[in-house]
This record gives sequence, structure tokens and C-alpha cells, in this order.
Amino acid sequence: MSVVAPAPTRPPYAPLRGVAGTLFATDHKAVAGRTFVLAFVFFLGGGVLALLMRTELMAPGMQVTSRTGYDEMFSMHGATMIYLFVTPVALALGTYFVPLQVGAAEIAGPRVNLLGFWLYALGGLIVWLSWFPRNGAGQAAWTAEYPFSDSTSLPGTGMDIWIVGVSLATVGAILWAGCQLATIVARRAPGMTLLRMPVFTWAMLATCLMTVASFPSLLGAMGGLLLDRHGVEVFPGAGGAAAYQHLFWFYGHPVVYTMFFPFVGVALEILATFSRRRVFGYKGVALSLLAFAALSSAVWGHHMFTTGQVSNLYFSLTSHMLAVPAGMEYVAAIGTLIGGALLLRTPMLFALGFFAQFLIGGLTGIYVASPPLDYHVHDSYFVVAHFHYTLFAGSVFGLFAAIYHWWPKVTGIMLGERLGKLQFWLLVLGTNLTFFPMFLVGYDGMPRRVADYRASDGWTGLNLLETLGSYVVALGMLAFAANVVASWLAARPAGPDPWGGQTLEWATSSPPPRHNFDGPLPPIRSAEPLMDLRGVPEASR
Amino acid sequence: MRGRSAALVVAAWGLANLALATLMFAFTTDLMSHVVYWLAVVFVLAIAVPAWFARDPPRRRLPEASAGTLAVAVGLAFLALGAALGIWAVLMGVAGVLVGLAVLGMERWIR
Amino acid sequence: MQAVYLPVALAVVVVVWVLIGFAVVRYRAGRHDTPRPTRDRNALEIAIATLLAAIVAGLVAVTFSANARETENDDPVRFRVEALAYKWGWQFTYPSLPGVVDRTTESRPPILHVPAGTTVEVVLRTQDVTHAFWVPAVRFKSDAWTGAVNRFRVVFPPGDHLSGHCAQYCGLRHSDMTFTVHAMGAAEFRAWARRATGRPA
Repeated sequence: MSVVAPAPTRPPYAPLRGVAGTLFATDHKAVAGRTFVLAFVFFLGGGVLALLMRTELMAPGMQVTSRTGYDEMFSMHGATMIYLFVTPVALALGTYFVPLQVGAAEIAGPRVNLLGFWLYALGGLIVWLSWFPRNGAGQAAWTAEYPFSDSTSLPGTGMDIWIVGVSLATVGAILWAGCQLATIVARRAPGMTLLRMPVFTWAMLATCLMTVASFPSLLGAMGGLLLDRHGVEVFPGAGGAAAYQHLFWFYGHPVVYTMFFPFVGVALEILATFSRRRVFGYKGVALSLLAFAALSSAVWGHHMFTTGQVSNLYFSLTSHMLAVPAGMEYVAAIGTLIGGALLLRTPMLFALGFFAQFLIGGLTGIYVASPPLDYHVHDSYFVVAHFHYTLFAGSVFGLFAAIYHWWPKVTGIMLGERLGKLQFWLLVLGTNLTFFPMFLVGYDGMPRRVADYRASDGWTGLNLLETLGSYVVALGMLAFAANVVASWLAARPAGPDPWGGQTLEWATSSPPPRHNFDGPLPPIRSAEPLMDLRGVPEASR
Repeated sequence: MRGRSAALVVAAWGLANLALATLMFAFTTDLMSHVVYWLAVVFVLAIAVPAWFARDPPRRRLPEASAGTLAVAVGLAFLALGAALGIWAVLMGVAGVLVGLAVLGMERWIR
Repeated sequence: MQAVYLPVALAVVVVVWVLIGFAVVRYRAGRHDTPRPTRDRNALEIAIATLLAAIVAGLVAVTFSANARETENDDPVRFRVEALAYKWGWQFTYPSLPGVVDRTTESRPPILHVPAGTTVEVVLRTQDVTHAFWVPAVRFKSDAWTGAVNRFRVVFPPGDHLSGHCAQYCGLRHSDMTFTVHAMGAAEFRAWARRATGRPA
């Protein structure tokens, strides 16, 4: 039930190989691929840090590292995961698939896109080089908490280098988002009106709008911090410290949505594909993605409820409002499943897990949107649980959904089903075992960013459970690595459309040729052109 | 494909943010809260302008590779590090960016 | 507040998980092999969006009124504490008890002495970077903000060892910046105050 790509009409393309290819190739698919691989290297680094931290926190007392060592670990864990793993990988999905989904031969501004990759790569390298100097490893947490991050508390080049690395990586992200935005604006194939774009492309449109609107604010915070560390009084007094937080969190909230939207887009497409029907509530999805993205720029002060420096009421109001567009996306997901003919392959399992688990993160987000409730749990493990449910139980599950779904397209071979299912169940077990108890221990009074706690606090049992959970997560990741190796050895060819896909990327070979499509595109008369070709009735929208 | 419809979406999104930023006035007049938001609103609305005029460019050769891009990236990295490491890094950065721009120019126009 | 938010959240989780579970069981290929063509139901979607907006409005109303109760609370302050946070410890002084200081020492965290069951105002400052004063037993924390004074009112439940923590990462000994609250009944508190200021019993 798949669509065969038209026979090639041009001489075979010989891609730029070897070192030159890795360094210089401008093909958006190659750039996205490199971003993906590098992001996973950082994921490994950040993950090892997590395991070390969890091992340290297994019991009271310092067994694994020193206090400074722990502070460096959690700072680098957060910075690596946010600046160097999830944000780049989320954007990279768009770098690869937006041009394909809109029927374009290449992304808009391929050299700018490549520049984005190199700024990210160099930035990431520089962030990790900051381990070496004194006071390095961004010890002030991924947020560079001010005034703790100034030159009084953390003198020396270590913090400076970290700031530069983070800034470069962020410029890279902005460039990627700009290129994707330009592609969506001006490179859609004839017939692809906005309301015929795939759901994932709508998600990337919203993502890129958020990214270009808010990421520059981080550059302001980081630039100001760097100047401040070198004698210019950029953030004086109470107002200055608040200004830093405004600049930081105006970026710091939308970035977590940048790390979520691409996955919600691909998860909805997976739900549709593996339910073998068109997505339900397409227009509602497009509208709620845009509304969700707009609101995301209006809520940043909810990170500052306990400071006494912002209007708690305004930010509480806007934060609560997020529940409406978020809920509408769940309506689309459930409405797509009901009436389908569900195939529970690995991509579908991860997509279902994404929706089921993200819900806990999202609802605890509404909980902390209420200042009186937040006053208790802010800066405690409750919040750590909240954002790991959204980012790990949510986004990372969504990432693996995307990987299992699109791996055949990108590599031309299939990933194994049995190892995929093993990975899924290990991750479900490990993730919930690690992060659910954190709600309890945080509510009970365990602050975050603590290298140690006392036996008398009574948190040892739950912490032990969380640590065991983290080892199960590690096993799940090993299962994934095993799957990658095993499937590469088995090399089962995927063909252009192994899943019965609905959107244009499945109308070309796996992997796609250099200019994405050899020969004419299928006619684009709906948001699911391949369903049209199969004669599936159009959705009444 | 013309950019008009997408530009309208960008502008509408900018206006949604404008509405939310305006709503903030009912709650607070704190300067920084407003400055960060309004700067972003203006930026987004500004993006809608070139988006309106955008169209699929005429047929031209797409690049396969760009060494100039890497050179510019390395140059920018050194420039940024100059803030932390000192003037030597800034000079190397300037050199890198200039070399990179020259190579980019050759890639783009000398064929 | 809890009594509203938690049940709402739980209800949403149950509804969503049951629906997903139902779909996975009822519409699994093998049980339901022919997918139904998608038909959007705009009226249903608008109805659900309206319901969600109503729930949000309700939660916002609950939060705003709790907030108003706090800010408009003019219960007289029975006792005032001046709390100073620094890297890495606490210093508590009591304006009505001159000379009495509870401060972090090398060997142990300080004890904050307060009367239980009455309105205590804490005047919170920092000597250096941002810290935060958190007593989980009262479900409240406030940042100690650089260059500012954050005042808040708390009613402490009675207790000999209510734990207190610094809840804003501040460097090396952040996790050691603990304190204990000793919240005493009226008579016991008066006795402590007399002893602490050195007045005769």
C-alpha cells in the first residue's frame, strides 16, 4: 500500500563524501544528519552526567564526587541537554523534513543553514571545553543564575567560555529556524496552500516563530552577563538582577516549547499514519499550535513567582490559558485514534507514550501556574519532576517516535521491531520509576540543585528508587544502540514508503536523492497527498 | 509559491503577541517586563514584511558545498571567544570572517 | 487550593488515559480493520475548547482569590523576624528582642524561634547572591533578592524541629544552608524570650 517514487530522470547524483562532505556539504539532509549525530553525542554526555548525579544522590553522603563536582555536573547536564541536545535535534527534524514535506528541492538559504550547524558545533565544543578552566563548567546552572554567575562568585575564564559557547549554539538555532521559516513562506510546491501543509510542518512553523522571536533575548542576557563580568555594570541592584531574569526567561520559556512542538507534530502524524486515517481536527491543530506558541511568549514570569519582582497575576493568568490549546491537541490525537485501524508498531507505541506521559508534565505545569501552589514547590524536586515529564517522558519519547518513524526514510533500512518494543517498555518503566517519586520527595521538602541531603530528611528510599529507575533508562538506551547496530548489519531495505505514509516525504526514495524528488510530485489537493493517490476519501474539514 | 499567505500568518501571530503584551499593562507597568515583550513583537511584525514579498527564486544552481561557511563560523567563534580570551582571539576571528566572506563570494559569483 | 487543582488534574488524566486506552483496544487492527474516513466535528471541538476555557477560568478564579486573600490580609503581625541569608548560612534576629541572634555555626544550623499559630512577619534580605527561605511545613518560600527586602507573613504550626532550607542555588554549600524552626506555644515562647534576652524568669 505504498506509493512508488517516479523513475529518476537525471544522472545519478554523487554526494560529496569523506571529510569534505562532512565539513562543507550544504544539502539540508546532510546538515540535519550531522546535527542529529552530534546532538546524540551530547545526549550521551549529558546522560552520563545524569547517571553520575543519580548515583551520588542514591544515599546521603558524598560518595561519587565533591560538592563542586556535583554543581558542575548538574549545570552541564542541564546546559547540554537543553542547548546542545533537545533544541538542536528538534530543529534538525525540521531541517531535514520541512523541505521534503513542502515539496521543495532544498531548504531556503542552504549556506546560512550550514552556518547554523557550525556555530552549534563550535558552540557545543566550547561549552564542553569550559570544564577545564577554574570555575568552569558553567557552575551557575544552565540558567547562569545571576548574580551568582558574576565575576565575584565565579571569577575567571571558565564561565566566560561557557557563555560564549551557549551564545554561539543559540545563534545556530536562530539561523536554522530562519531558514525553515523562509522555506515554509516561499518554497512550498505548487498546490500546497498553507491549509494543505502537513501537521509536522505547521508545528515547525510555530516552532520557528517562537525561536526567532525569543532566542535573541538569550543573546541579550548572555551578552549582558559577559559585559557585566568584565566591569560594565549591566545588571545593578534589585532591578538589574530582575532584568537579567526577564531577558533569560523570555527565552527560557519558549525554548521548552521549541523542544516540544516538533515532537507533537510528528506524533500526530504517526498517530494518523498508524491509525490509517487522516488526522482529526486539522484546522484546530493548526490554530492551537499558533495560539500555544503565542501564549508561550507571554508566560515567562512564572519562573519568577518567588522573586517578588514581577506581576504574578498576569503570568499566572497566561500560564493557565496554555491548557486550552494544549487540550485541543489532545482532542485531535484522540479523535484521530477513534475510528482508525490501529497498528501498534514501535513508532506508534512511542507516540502514544509521548501523549500519555506528557500529560503529567503538562498538568503539573498548570499546578505550578498558581503562585500560592508554586510558592511551596518552586525550586524543589517537584519542579524537576514536572519538567522531566515534559522533556524526557514527553519530548524524548516523541523523539524516539520520530526516529523509528523516519529512520527508514533517512537511511533506507528498517529498525528492528523487537528491540524497539524492548526499548519502549524499558524506557516507560525507567522513566516513571525515576521521575514520579520526585514529585513526592519535592513536595516533602527536597530542594533542587542539592549535592547531598541528610538521612534525617527521610528521602533516602525514594532517591534510591529514582536511581534504580535511571539505570533502567540507561538499559533502554542500550537497547536502542543495539537496535541501531543490529539493523545496520541486517540492512533490511525499507523502500520509499514502509508505513503507508500520507505526506510527500514518502513519495520519494529512501534515502531521498540530492534534490529530494526525482521527477514530478504527486498532485497536492489535500494535507495528505498520498492518501488522495490511494483513493482514501478526503476529510470533510 | 508566493509568501503572502504565510506573511499573513506571521503578522497574525505577531498581533496575537501584541494583544497579550497589551494585556500586561492591566497588571503591571514594570519596565523590563514590557521591554522584552515589545521588542519581540516589533521583531516578529518586521519579519512579516519581507515574507509578504517573498517568492520562489528563479532557477539557479544550488550549492553543493561551502568551505567559506565553515571559515566564517570559525571566525565568528574566535571573535566571540575574544570577549573571554583577549585581543589575539578577536584578531584571528576577524581574519577568519574576512577569509570566509571572500571564499563565499567566490563560491557565489565565480562559476 | 490543592483540593481544587489535584482533583481536576486527576480527572483529566483519567479521562485522557481511558480514551486512549479505549481507542487502542477497540480500534486495533484485527478488531477494526477498516479505518473510518476522517470527518471533522467543529461543533464538538468548539464545545470542548469552551469547556477547557471554563475550567481554566475556574482555576484562575480560585488562584486569584487566594492571592487576594493573602494581599488583603491585615491580620496584625504578632512577631517579626529579620532573616539574613548569605553564602552559606542564615542569621535570624528579632527586632523586639534586641541582642538575640540565631546564626549558622560551624557545627550546626541555626534555630529560628517563633510563636506558633500566630502571624509572624519575616523580613528577608541577602548579603550577597540570591537565596531563598523555605519551610516546607508552611508550604511557602520566598527569594532573598539582591538589593531588595522581601517581606512575607507566615503562620507556623507548632513544632520543635520544622525543617528549613535554602531553595535557591547559591554555590558550594547550598545544600548545607539549612535551618530549623522551633515554633512554640505562647507560654513556652515567652519563657524562651525571657531566657534569650537574659531577663530574670
